[in-house]
Amino acid sequence: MTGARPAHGDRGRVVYLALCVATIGFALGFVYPAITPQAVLWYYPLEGRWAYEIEPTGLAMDFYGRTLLALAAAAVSFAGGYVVFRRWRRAVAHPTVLGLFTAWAITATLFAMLNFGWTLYFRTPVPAPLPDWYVPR
Amino acid sequence: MPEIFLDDYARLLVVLHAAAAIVLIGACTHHAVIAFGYLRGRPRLRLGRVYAATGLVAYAVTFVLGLLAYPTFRYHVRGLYLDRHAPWASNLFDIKENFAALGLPLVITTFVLSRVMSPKDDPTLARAYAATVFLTTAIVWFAVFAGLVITATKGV
Repeated sequence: MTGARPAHGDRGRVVYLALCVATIGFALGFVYPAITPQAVLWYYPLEGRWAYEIEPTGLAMDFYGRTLLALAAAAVSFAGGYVVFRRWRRAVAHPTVLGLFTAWAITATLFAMLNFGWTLYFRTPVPAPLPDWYVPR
Repeated sequence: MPEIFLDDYARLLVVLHAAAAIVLIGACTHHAVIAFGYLRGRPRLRLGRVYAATGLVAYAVTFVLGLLAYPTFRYHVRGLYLDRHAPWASNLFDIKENFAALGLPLVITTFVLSRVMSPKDDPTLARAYAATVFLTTAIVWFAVFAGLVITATKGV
């Protein structure tokens, strides 16, 4: 790693490589709470409240919380990647590095997709109890 | 009946969500065709930028509208109906929403790349750009058709 800043023409590559790191961060941040016990923000639509917890205590949605966590992971990854690649001029100029990070970003995304596809395909959802007022609409 | 956030507007939100998705799938498909041209050495930079920007805006609008309609869907559609009568549609919806979220960084990447890269000077970057465009397009096609199937099974 050198301390030299990249030339202006390398700016696109620096941004791209940082975005690849951010994509990897997003995918890992998004899938992490689904594969290990990790507290996230849950929304309870019937009660209109939020809770930060590992397991919900009723009908709740973790999608908002996982997306926020993934966005935070992506933002931190992008900042870290940008700082590193701005200084790492040799790597930025190398086509192999570009190809590798593209492949890693796509692989991380596909890995996360495969995880959700596999686990959700075989899931047996638990229906909410039918309330007294319920009339199918 | 419980008060659910934006329950009264859920149908309108889903219609707007679908309308934005139509724009999105069109922009992404055109963008994929343009990206294929980059690989064949025929870059159409301006069109690529237009479709990347359209795709980003349409993706964001579609995503946000979906988030707003989600609480109603989660209880009235999934909780009370799909989980009981069509669990495969519940699972398909969750696969779709997770795939759509994973496409977010990709659509941002393609937008930024379309602004900063020069395909003629940097063919390696053009190939990477095309790869992210193709994956984004695949995610969008899956999400749109999964959404159609789920809505045909039970709408809000």
